[in-house]
Amino acid sequence: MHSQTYEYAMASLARGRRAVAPIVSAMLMVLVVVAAFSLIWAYTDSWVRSQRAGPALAPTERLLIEDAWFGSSNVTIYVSNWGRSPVVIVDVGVYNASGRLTNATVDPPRLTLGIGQLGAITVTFAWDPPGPWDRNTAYRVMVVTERGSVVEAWFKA
Amino acid sequence: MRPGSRRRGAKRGQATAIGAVFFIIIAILMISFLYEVYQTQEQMTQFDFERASENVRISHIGFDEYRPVDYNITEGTLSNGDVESLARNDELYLVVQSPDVGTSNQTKTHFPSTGSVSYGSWVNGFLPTSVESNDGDRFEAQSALQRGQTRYLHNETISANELECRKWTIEEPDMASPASVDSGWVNESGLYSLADFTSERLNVPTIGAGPWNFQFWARLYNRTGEPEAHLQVEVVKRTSRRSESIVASNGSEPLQLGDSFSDVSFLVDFPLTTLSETDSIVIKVYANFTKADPANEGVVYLRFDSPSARSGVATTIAQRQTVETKFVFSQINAERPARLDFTIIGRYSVGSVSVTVQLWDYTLDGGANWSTATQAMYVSDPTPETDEVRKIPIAGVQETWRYLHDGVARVRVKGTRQDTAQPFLLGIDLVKLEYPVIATEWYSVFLINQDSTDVNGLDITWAGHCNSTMVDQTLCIYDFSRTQWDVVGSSKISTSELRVGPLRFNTSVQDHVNTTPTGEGEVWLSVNCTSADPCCVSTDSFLLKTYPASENEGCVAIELVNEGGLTVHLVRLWIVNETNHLVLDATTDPSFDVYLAPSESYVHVLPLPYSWIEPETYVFKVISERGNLWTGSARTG
Repeated sequence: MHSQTYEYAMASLARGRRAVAPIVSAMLMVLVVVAAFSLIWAYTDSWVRSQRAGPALAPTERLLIEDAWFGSSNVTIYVSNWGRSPVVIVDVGVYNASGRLTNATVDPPRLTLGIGQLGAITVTFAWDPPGPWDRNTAYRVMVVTERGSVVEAWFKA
Repeated sequence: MRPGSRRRGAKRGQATAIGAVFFIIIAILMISFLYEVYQTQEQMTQFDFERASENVRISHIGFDEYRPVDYNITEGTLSNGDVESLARNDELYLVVQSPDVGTSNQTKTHFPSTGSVSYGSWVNGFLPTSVESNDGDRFEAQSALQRGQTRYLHNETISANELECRKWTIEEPDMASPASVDSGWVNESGLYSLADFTSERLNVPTIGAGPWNFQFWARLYNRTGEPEAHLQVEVVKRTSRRSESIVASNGSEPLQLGDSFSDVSFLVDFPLTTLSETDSIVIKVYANFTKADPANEGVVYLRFDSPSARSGVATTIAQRQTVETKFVFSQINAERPARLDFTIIGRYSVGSVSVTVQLWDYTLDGGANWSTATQAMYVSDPTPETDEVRKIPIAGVQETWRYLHDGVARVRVKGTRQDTAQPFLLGIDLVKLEYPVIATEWYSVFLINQDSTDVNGLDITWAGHCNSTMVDQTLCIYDFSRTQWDVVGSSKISTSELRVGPLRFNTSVQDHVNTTPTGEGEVWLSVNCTSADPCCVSTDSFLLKTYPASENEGCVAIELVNEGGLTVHLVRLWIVNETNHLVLDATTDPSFDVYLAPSESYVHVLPLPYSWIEPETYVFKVISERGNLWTGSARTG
């Protein structure tokens, strides 16, 4: 009776050692899966967030160049934001028939416009030699936003 | 199945379940993001659709232009139209119909209430019964002898000195004769007016030809220079309306003056001159400096005494028989009549009487008098006792007002026959005055956002037509200080399209612009029409334009029409010209913030510190809340 009890106990102990390994492996499997999906989640979430902050909002941008006022060596461009998200204007180009006018400084270099807001950007040219605009010549004014939207309009000097 | 394979299957199942959960979570994240992107795209598509559906037109830009905001018909009835139909030339008419449709008599007739025989004597007849119809019942007067006489020109008045040189002064005369003496200095050569000697109204038909002898005391005093001057004399006939014509002059023989005062006399050949009763003669004396004193170191004196010009300046009126009667029409309640028709039927007991029929003109310069401008002059029939009809028609509101004042008009009939001592009888069978009554009358109210002190003048333009060919139209403006209507202009409109104006009104403008309690300016303009027949007057447009008191104060009226299917919120207005650009929105002063319902038309008036005087092109850009831009341009001046 005693030996049967001992054997039974030893057998139970042997069965218990065999039962630990599957639990650990299962936990490891779960851990691997969780880690892998966490990485995928983190990347996906980051991507979604970046998309929401940037390119995904690009289609919501609507800009209007309302007026351009030509000074002796500069032009002030009045841009309004009619879209559904704030925009940041990062580049303004002025073009004539030959191409983009160079040697220009843009003030401010980055202009943030809230929804419905009107702003002004002055592009000053270091004319070489200094000279006026060609009177009654149409110049193409192009505005580029941080999200890559491009708006252009023509104005006579 | 073996127990080991069961355990491996369970582990894969657990991992698959966890992966599925994560996948589902990530899928939900992605789907929500994609849905969000889809939603955004949908919103922007909707936004772009709405934006594309907006359509606003700048239909009109007027500088200092206003349209009526209200109207009131005081005579006649409204057949069609409203105040909106007056806003522009669009063939939408405000139609006013005269009240008495079906009747043809739109004329009122008056007979004189009083009369008198001002030369000659009354014989028969009583007013007004004896002259109110052509029935043989006459008002009669007998002529009286008017003796011949000789009349002289007198220097009744001496007008103010008109010498246009520097430091002209008046000195006391150094001669005994009572006359004014003028002196001064002249440092530039040229013709200088010294004085006008105006005669009384001569009241003679002619002045005979002959020499007129003028005498002056004058000298040319020279201190340092050596000026040379001549006296020139012109004899001028001046009518009652102050139009002048030179009758004679000594211009061909100028008079050289000496260094000391001397008696200067000379002759002017005066031709036979026909005068009307109210003409006068003016003797104009000039100094013609052929050499002045440019150094201005000395003083050139001209002393000028009154002309003694009686010698030879006389006319003789022959003996004649004259009869003169006057008739007075009173209580004529005709406001702004466009026409007056005076009719007189008379006869004389002798033939070939020189007859003059005249009206009393209340507006003549120098005082009211019998008018020669509209008189009827004729010689009566050689056969005695022959009834003759004479009419004096006065057309146009400006003219009728000359002869009708405070409801009173006067007419005079004067018959003269020379070289006879025998008196004759004048019989007046009919004297009447007719005028058309107002068929339609209405006024418009214009609100202008300028007070009266900012307005220097008004331009009024009316366009329309009527269904009759003989309609006299009068355009009036209300004088708020005197509470009466003043005539701006009159015209005869026809069945065809007609445009009246712009009529410039710049007389006492401040009295005609009322400042309302809200601070706006208010102008009332009325149109009344008189017609012999019932008429229907259609007004297409009635516009008012103001001229600012200062060129830096102006107004611009922008007419905006929403031709799209959505309500448009216009948030910004740009005004751009060659040298300036201006942006207005809800936060600026003046502000611009306009909502336009579909198909709505709206005139936005802005006071602007711009000069509209110089011709210049202005570009106007309006921006909608959805980011649309529409432009229009207009040229000032």
